[in-house]
Amino acid sequence: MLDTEPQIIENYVKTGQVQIVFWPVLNHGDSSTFATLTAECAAQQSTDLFWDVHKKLFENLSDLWGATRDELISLAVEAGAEQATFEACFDGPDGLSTVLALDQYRRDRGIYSQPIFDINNQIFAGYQRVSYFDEIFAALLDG
Amino acid sequence: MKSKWLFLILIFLISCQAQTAVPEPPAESVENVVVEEVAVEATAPPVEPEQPTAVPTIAQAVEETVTEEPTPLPATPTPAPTEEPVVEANNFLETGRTDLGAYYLGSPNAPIRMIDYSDFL
Repeated sequence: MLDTEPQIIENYVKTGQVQIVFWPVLNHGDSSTFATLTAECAAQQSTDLFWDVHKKLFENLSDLWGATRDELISLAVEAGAEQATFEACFDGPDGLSTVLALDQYRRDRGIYSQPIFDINNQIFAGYQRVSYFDEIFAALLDG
Repeated sequence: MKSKWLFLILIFLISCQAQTAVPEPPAESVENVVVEEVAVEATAPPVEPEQPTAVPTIAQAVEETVTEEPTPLPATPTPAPTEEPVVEANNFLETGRTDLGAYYLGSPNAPIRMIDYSDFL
């Protein structure tokens, strides 16, 4: 989504035609869990901040494998999170339980791979170019 | 008797010569020198008493500084108008959380909802 999401936001979200919902999938152990926890703890300060951290996490995808606690905290603080509050969330139980609950919910829905796109209850699997989404959105908007 | 007179004459002559050999005292006596000095002093032009150098007071110095011609400041170039700050796209958009706890971006009234199930890795 790193390449396609900005175009979808520009062309469809800003125009009020599409709303994006991010649902975390924890398929890579602790690295996935703590990266998602970073976004969750930022979101507890501000839902705008969630999307800033979400963007930073995807931009630093290759660095997330084995990223330390301090590195993830730095990433969130650089995005605008207040450090002490963020650390309290990151080290506490609430943020983690929220992340794990969301992951369990997608498993209960039968979603095991990623990325998966649920577009108005139609499921599309795998990475796609923006033109692929253009066709789907056009069909839904015309219909 | 004759030799006695000769002896006296000789004595007289010697004494006279001794008197002429004694140098005359200088014409200018000490008194004369003192008088001359006094005269010089009297004829010398009166020395003007030294005028005290005027030390400017702080007020005078300030006044002089104030009355000096002001140095024109170099012209400051007018800064070019700055561009509008770039705002992150989502700052214009509505963000929030669904009932189930996931985060959304965009209008809840949008005709299309796309749920992105993804791992950050």
